[in-house]
Amino acid sequence: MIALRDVRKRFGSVPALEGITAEVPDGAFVLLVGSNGAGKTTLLRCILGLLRFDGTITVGGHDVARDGRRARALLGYVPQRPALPADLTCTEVLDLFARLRGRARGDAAMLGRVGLEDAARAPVRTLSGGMRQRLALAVALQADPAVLLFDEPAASLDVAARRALHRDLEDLAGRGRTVLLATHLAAEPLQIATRALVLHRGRVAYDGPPEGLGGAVQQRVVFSVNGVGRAELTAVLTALPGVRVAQTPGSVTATTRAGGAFEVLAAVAAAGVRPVDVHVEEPTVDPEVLAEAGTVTPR
Amino acid sequence: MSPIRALAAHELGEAIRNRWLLAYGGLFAVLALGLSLVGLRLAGAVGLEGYGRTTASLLNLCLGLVPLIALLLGATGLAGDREVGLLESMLAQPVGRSELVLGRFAGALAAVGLATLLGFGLAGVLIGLATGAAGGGQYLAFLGIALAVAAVYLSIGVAIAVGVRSRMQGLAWALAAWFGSVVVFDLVLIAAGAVAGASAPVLAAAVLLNPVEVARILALLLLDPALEVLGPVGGFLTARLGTAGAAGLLVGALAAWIVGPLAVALALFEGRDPI
Repeated sequence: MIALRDVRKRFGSVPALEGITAEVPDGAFVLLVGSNGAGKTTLLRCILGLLRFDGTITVGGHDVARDGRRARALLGYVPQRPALPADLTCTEVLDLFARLRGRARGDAAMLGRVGLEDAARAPVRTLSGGMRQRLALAVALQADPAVLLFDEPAASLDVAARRALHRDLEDLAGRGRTVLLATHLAAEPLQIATRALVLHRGRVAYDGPPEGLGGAVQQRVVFSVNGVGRAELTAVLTALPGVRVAQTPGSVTATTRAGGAFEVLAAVAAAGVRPVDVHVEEPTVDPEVLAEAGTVTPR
Repeated sequence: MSPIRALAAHELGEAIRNRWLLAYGGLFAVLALGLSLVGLRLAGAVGLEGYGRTTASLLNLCLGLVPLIALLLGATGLAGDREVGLLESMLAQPVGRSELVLGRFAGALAAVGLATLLGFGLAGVLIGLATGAAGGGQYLAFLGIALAVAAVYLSIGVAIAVGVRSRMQGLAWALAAWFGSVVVFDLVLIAAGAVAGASAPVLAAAVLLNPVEVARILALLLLDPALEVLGPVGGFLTARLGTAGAAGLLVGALAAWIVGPLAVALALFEGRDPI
C-alpha cells in the first residue's frame, strides 16, 4: 500500500531521513518506532506530501511527489497535537473536512464511534486534549481512507484516554485497516502490530515482525536519590543480570527488558534500599541494543 | 463542493463568527457618515453632504484603512494556521497547495469586501436617502476601487504569509508594507520631484509601483478629472493617454498588483515546505 524507496530529507544541513526503504503492505498494522528526533514525524509528513524529499514514495500506486492529491485521498492522518478550527463545533469540523474531500457534509455518526456524541455541538476550544484527539480520529475515519497514519497519538493523553485510543487501534486492526502508527513507546501497540519499523537517526534500524525485536524492547526504572543509599542502590542494580545502570546527580536509572521492572524493584526492596522516589517508564525500543545484537532489517 | 469553495466559505464563516467583519463594517459606516456630517458643518449647513464631497473625503480614509486591514488579514491568516498546526491538518487532505492559497484568498477577500460594502455601502444608502444627491455612480466607482485596493493588499498579505515562519513575523512585515506604501512612498515621491527634479514620466512610472497611489489617482480621475486635483502625475497621464486611457492603465496596474503577489505566493507555496 505504501512503498518507500531511498527516501531522504534534510533540513538545511541537518539530515532527517537518510535513505529509508520500506513497504507497508495492504492491511498491515505497522508500528513506526524511534526515539525523539529519529525521523518518524518527518517520514509521515513526507508520505503525506507535506514536505519535499528525495527518493520515491507511492501510496496505492500514486506517486506522492507528482500526484499528491490522489495519494492523500487514500490517507487519513491523526497528528500528535491535532489542530482543528477552535471556534467550530465538532459537527462543523466534520463538515469542513468532508467538504475538503468533495463531500457535501460530514458523517456525524463518527462522533458516536469515537465517544463524542454528547459533544457534537461543543466548540473545539472547549474540548480536552483527549477529546480533540478523538475528534481528529473521527475526521480521519469519516473519509473511510485505505490507510491511517497516526503520529504519537498517545503522547498527550491521560491513562484512560490512552486505553480508549488503544481500543480504537485494536478495532481498526480487527477491521483489516492499513495502519502506520508512529510512537516512541512500545507498550500495548506492539501487541497489536503485525510489523515494526524502527528508525534511528533517520535510518531504518529494524524492519520486521514485532517479535523479532526481542530484548531491544527496553524499560527504564528511574530512582530519585539523595546521597544516602546511592552506593548501595547502584551495587544492587549492577549485580542484576541484563540491567544497565546510568547515574546522574539526582538519580540512578536501571534499563532492563520490557516487563523486567518488577524484578528490579523487588531486588531493590529486598536489599532494604529506600530511594526518595521511583518512576517506571513505559517500554521503548532501544536501537542501540538492536545494533549490538546485530538485529537489523530481517526483511 | 470544491476545496476552494469549501475553504473560502470557511474563511468567511470565521470572519463572521469572530465578529471582526461586523466591527470593521460598523467602523467604516460610522466614519463615512461622520465625515459626511463634519464636511457639511464646516460648510456652515446642517445635515449630510452629498456623494461627491463625501467620496472625496472618504478616499483618504479608505486608502489608509483598507490596505491595513487587508494586509493584516492576509499576512496573519496562513501564518497563524501554520503556527498552530491547522495548515498541516488541512494540507493532509486531498487539497492542492494552490487550492488552499486561492480558497483562503477568496474567503478573506469576501470578508474584507463584505465589511467594506457593508460599511461604505450602508453610509452611501443613508447619504442618498437623506440628501437625494446625485453622484451615486461616483460613489459606486469608489466602492469598486475600495474593493480593488482590498484585493491588492490581501494579495500582498498572502505573499507575506507564505514567506514568513510565524504570525508575528507576518504582522511585522504587514505593518512595514503598509507604512511603506501609505506613508513613506508619498514622501519619497515628493522628495524625488522637489529635490531630485524627477520628471513627470519618471514620477508616473514610479506611481505605478504603489497601489495606493494608483487607486488615489484612479479615484480622482473618476470623481473630477481636473488637472489641479489630479496633480502632475495624473495630469501627465491624462494628457498623454486621455481620461479613458489613463483610467485603463491604472485599472490594469491594480489588476497586475492583485495577480502579481498572488502568483508569487502560489509559486513560493508550491516550491517550498509549507509547514
